[in-house]
Amino acid sequence: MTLLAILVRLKLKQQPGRLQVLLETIVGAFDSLCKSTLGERGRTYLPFIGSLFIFVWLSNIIGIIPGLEEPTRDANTPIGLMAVSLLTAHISSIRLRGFKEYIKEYFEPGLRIRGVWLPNVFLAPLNVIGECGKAISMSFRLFGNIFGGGVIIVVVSSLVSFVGLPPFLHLFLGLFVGTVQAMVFSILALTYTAVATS
Amino acid sequence: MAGQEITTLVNAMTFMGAGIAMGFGAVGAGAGEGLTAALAVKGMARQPEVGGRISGIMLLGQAVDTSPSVFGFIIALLLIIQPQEIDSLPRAAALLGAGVAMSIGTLGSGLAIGWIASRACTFVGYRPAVAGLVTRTMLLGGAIAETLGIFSFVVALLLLSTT
Repeated sequence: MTLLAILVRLKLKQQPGRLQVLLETIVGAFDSLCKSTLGERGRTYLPFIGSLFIFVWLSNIIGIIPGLEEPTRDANTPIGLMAVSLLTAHISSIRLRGFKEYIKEYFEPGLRIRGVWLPNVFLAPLNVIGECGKAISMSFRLFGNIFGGGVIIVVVSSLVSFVGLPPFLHLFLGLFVGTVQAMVFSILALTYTAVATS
Repeated sequence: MAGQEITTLVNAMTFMGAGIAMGFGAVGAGAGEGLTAALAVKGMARQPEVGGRISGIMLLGQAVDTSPSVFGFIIALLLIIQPQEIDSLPRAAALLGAGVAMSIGTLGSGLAIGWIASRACTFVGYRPAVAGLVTRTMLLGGAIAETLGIFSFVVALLLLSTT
């Protein structure tokens, strides 16, 4: 994939060929996705979101090659990817607004007594639990879908003695669901970053 | 896996949990996907020229809608292939609880995602120009609606790992 990118880069032309148009369309779609979610800052996150998508996508669909197993079928891979994406969101929040504002976020919505902002200590635990919920749901969504898809393929294939159905199962559960989940994962990473930095 | 012997009442409770997990698990996703398809048809009848776009969005929404049911399916399978030597009632109750948690959690998520996806399909029929935005919002909303189903999946996995 890197080779492909370098090859196309070397042959960049004013009047693009077929391959260049294809790649430009893909990059352009991600660029406009980042920009419309994050505004002008969006382009900074384009390499991260793009490579996150490509990594998750390839990890999800690699199972259609016989003998290879999806890395995302092991719960550790999604958890690691989730940690990277949420760290990005939190660190960009700290960098953009400073540490004080970042901590203050956890005590929102604050109490207002005679116009003075006071931290709402009762809401802080709930906000922290909410963050943990984000982490759990993001990683287990990917893991559960890919793992479940793999289990369904194995069970149904052995029920029909590996005749007829398995290619279609791979097509739907491997390619289609894998692509959708990769998209969902990268869009979630992007949106959490946008929410954290807004 | 097929044809396992049901020896004790305790063992039977595990299989009951598996049945409940998959049975109710199918209701939410089934209803949700049906609603999605129904409203996709409505959107298409309104704007036949964006029919292809709408059926793409419908398939996407249904794929997201399936995933809570997939969780229910995993839990049901894990319950069925539990080792036979379950002999304590509390352990069997925990396994039954895993099935119940998964089933009802899946029900809500499946219905909610179906609701979201169906509205997305209809309104693309109303305003095809914003199809990209609608699709993205649908994916995001569906993912968040799925969160609670994922929580019940995690709880069911924890219950399964009790000893």
